[in-house]
Amino acid sequence: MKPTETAAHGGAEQQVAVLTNNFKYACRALRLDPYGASDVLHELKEELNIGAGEDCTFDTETGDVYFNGEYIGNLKE
Amino acid sequence: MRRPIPNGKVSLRLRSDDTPLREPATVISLAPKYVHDKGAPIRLANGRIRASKAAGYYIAFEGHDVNDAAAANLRIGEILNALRGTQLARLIASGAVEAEIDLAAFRGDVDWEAQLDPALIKAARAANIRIIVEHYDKFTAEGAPLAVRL
Repeated sequence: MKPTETAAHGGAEQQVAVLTNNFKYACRALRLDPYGASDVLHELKEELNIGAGEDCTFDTETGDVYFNGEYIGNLKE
Repeated sequence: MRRPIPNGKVSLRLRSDDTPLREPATVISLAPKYVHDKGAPIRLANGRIRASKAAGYYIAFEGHDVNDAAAANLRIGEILNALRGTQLARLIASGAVEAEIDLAAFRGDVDWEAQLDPALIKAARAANIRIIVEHYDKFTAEGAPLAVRL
């Protein structure tokens, strides 16, 4: 699945964040150990009452994790 | 340094729209790890306060690492035993509290669904408790972790 690209404009510089719901893709893009990243994601979902079947969104440049558009953590933490 | 990642992890989660969970949870032999009170702010792991407040009452109890189905069966049995005969069990049976035993599967070495004890699955269903295997080693077509309800 192709990740969603979102462009955010700030001042003279243009910042482009690449967001995706595809966890597998995000791990590859961030060059993360998938087991460690899985542990982090599971902990975030457990901590914040996010159900097993509910999808998060991942920033493939920073590792930030969002749920319903709200920042909830980072896959690298 | 990050802990070694086990093959799986078993934990109990409780949710309710209207029933506070702190008090009834104090009498069972499981340790709460994350507790939300409806309408209260939620602090994130990095210390920041989450933008949205808790939508309901919620407890996630301390989970246990498991490396094979025998260990998972043992932990699931312990959770069912801890709840048996308690006020929480009655609230769960009535539907006032939603209960879920979450088995996070981190590695593909174990066929969890095939090896979990059918008697435990049956006992959980009878108690109105869901068992969900959340696969971080298998994915949906969209690349999200695959959740299987038993």
